[in-house]
Amino acid sequence: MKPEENTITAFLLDSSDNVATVLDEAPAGAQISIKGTDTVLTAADTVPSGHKIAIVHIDELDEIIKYGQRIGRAYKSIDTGSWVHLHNIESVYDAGFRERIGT
Amino acid sequence: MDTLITKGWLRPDGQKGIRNHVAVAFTVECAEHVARKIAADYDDVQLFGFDGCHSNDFVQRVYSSLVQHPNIFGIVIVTLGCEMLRGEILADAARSAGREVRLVSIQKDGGTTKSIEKGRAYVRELYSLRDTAERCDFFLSDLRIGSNCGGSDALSGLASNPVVGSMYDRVIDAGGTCFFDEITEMIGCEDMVVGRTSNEVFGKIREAMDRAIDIASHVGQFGIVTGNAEGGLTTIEEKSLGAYMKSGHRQVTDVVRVGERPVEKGLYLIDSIPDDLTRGISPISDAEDMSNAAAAGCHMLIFTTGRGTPMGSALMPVIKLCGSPATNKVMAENIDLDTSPVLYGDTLIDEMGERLLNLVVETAAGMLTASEKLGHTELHLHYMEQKHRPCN
Repeated sequence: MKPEENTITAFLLDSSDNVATVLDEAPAGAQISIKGTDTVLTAADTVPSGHKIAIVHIDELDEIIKYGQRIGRAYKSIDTGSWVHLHNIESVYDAGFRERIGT
Repeated sequence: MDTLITKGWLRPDGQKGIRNHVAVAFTVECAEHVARKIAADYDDVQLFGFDGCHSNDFVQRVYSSLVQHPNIFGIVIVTLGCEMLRGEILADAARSAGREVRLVSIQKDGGTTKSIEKGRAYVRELYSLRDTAERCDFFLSDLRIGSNCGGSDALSGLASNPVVGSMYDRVIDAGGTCFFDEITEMIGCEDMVVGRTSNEVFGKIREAMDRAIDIASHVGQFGIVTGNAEGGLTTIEEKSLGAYMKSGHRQVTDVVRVGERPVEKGLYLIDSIPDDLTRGISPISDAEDMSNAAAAGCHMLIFTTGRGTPMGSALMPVIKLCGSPATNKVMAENIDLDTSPVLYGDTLIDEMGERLLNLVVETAAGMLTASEKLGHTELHLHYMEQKHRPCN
């Protein structure tokens, strides 16, 4: 499926993933087309290039799955279409990272 | 399926090379200037060396492996004369592997000018001799390939690194040998590795990872930095998985320590973590990671980048992959394969993996890579403490 004009493409690495990576910055409200699928989401926040967007609702303490693997855990619930980053998820190994860089 | 790629060069120790290099190697920074001048007459002399003076088991082992690299026909070793790292020992190592060896010792040979003259004469001699090297059939199964990622961006882990993994799968299926590195960037990948190897080998991986975690905890740094977060990598696990994609999907045969070369073919993890936290940190630069691959006997290296880097390597052709359209434009002369069609076009990772394999085969058959054409011969040796432990 070819994304329409003004649609931002997001890249999904594994069918079990709950986040996708936007290739270009997606302003809040932009339509996000998940490459290789028919799914189109609306960005709830501005998502910078290379950053992740929730493609389903994620509950607090849920695992974040990318590459079909756990990359961390949500410490807040995350709505579909929201930007997923240090403000809502953290490493299981190195939870101190977000404090170290002052988030 | 195994394939005849090209005519390689058969070394007297049975190794096969895909290049027939003349190298100049210095043993201490005091000899670098002379070595550089000795190498200056020819564009394709492979110049490398070691800043230090003091030697230890690690430096001795890694340097000895480098002077026996399969792509080397002959080597001029340039020493000052009083350094701890003995040029004679390296010369013996190269000679025992059947390489043509010449030694210049600045303190004996009469200072800068005379040493340069002597070294240049040796280089000319080696160039005149190198056509006498024996040729042999070189198969895909003879290849040893290393990989490294540097100047990564958030897209490296989506496009270039999985493309390397796809190519690795094909080379291993053909009976070849591939290496991956960067244990500090495997934290969070344990579940993936455990299913890909024997219990014994997993034990070695686990032990190396524990060492890496010890160091990370001690220095309060898990290998993820501000720039990674700005680029969209949120956790060390996420960064690790992106890097880990380079290893593909095949069984991990064993773990090798830096400077050791496995006899059996297969997929190997290079353990580049020091034994002792107080004596050297894990390699922190791309040039060091590349020297680890060269010391494992890799014929070539695949380098994935996002932000772009000009570096190549002495001894190994480097094939550079980049998935960033902007970087592919700005640094076009440095990039060998644009992997962005995986992200922005309809190309599948496996299709791009096939393209990379073709590039690997053409490079083995003599096609020059971007870094070779531009004359890059970076290679950096570093100090650390890591004991010898033979693998299979």
